[in-house]
Amino acid sequence: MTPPRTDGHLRARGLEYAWRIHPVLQDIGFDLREGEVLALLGPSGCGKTTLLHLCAGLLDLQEGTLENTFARPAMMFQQPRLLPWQNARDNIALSLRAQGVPRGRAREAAQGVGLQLGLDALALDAWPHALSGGMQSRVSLGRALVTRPDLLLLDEPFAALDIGLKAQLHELLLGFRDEQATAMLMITHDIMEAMRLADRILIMAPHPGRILYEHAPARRQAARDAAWIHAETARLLEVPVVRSCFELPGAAPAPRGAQAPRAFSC
Amino acid sequence: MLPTLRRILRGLPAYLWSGWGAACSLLFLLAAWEALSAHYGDLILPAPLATAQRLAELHGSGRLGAELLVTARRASAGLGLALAAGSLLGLCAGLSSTVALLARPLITLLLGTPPIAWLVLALLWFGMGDGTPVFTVFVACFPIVFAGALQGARTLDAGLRDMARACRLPWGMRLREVYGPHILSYLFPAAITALGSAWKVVVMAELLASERGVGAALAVSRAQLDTAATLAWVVAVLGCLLCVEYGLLEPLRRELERWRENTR
Repeated sequence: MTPPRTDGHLRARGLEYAWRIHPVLQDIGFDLREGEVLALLGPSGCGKTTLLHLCAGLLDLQEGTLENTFARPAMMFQQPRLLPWQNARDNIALSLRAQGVPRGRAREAAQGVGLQLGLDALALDAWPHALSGGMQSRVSLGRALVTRPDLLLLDEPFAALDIGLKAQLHELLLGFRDEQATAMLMITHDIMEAMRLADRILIMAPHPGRILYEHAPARRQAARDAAWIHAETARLLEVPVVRSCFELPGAAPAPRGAQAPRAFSC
Repeated sequence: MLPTLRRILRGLPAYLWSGWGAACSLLFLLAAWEALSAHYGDLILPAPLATAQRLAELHGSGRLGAELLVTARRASAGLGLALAAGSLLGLCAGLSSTVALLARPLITLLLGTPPIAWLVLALLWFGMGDGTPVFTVFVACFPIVFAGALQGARTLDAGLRDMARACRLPWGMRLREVYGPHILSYLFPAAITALGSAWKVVVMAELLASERGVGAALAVSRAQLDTAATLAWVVAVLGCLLCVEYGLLEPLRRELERWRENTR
């Protein structure tokens, strides 16, 4: 059964965040609408995870506004964060049970999602410590997907997976988005992955974390083949401000503060 | 409930079979005892058979059961109080880093104070009744349980806590499925250690400060230079301890900590 669609959006304006006196995020603003996939790219330590945790309500806002009208948000963390004393099936079922679904029905739903994610019955019966890193990631993704969320917050969801499995899960996520209009805010280090999945890509610079560049791939996801993705990624990496964000060799320092309006490309 | 029972029954033969190792080491101990007894003579160390015979006599006279019951009652009362107070206060202390910091030196002091010192104080406070052994057991076990609960509460995984918030787990579920099993994994070993201490301390307390119980019976056998009876009482106490440990606590621990097994 497909849950009712909510006219959801996530709107951030002027977000600032600091750990003690160290600014982590500066003037962050973006919109995420129903059914849209937004990828956040940036070097390590640029505040992507902090931003995602703010969106999930795990950190308190310090400055700016964040409006979230999605009814069923779900999050997948960078580490799997599975309960070691529950088997994989029960870990997936956990978020469904949190909504009051009886244990039996939640387990059935978990089994279905687990199979979709390539976890067989043996893996679903296993304790988390007995699973490989990739399997643990999939259990964690299953825990987020099983509630059929309208907003998915994903923190490097496919970092521990091989390329074959990654491609399968990309298809699965896009299918999920087409079927249920799920919005996704995804952190990734993999530019090609962002180019494969995202409707828009936001690129952040570090110290403090700020969005300096926005790129909207021209083709629809279904039409993006490997050659196109490679070519587009190469083109994106030639943009001077993108090179600066990642502090690539030969790049100028990333612009700071008021001198840093966001650049766009389509 | 039914699947749990089925799983326990399925695992029972393997569990009983694993008892051969323990039986083997106990038989080795008996053999060593027999050898030492043959060397030193019955007055110093009566043979295992003579001890068993004395144990049977004590059982026949009804004293064995009666005294063991008194000792068990005192030990469980003290241990029960220590478990209740220790886990509750330990958890509360663990939730605040300031209280945990303040509690640490006190726990070290309590753990380091010899039970015999408490016993003397308890004798002055409670006299020769049940109060003295129960209090001594309580005060010996409390810091062990408290430290276990405090450690459990201090080491709660912040990652799992965030996950529980992100999944919007209701409070009951968080306690039952996220925090509870973690704290239990610290509390349970502490409770087992406390149980061992409880038996030792209660016998010592009874020896010096009571007219009933195994400890008091040991005092009588010492006065009569009845080494066989002394050993019979020691064997009875150890037998009870082994029964509780392997008949109740070890199966319970295995059931609660199944997730630690290497299943694949």
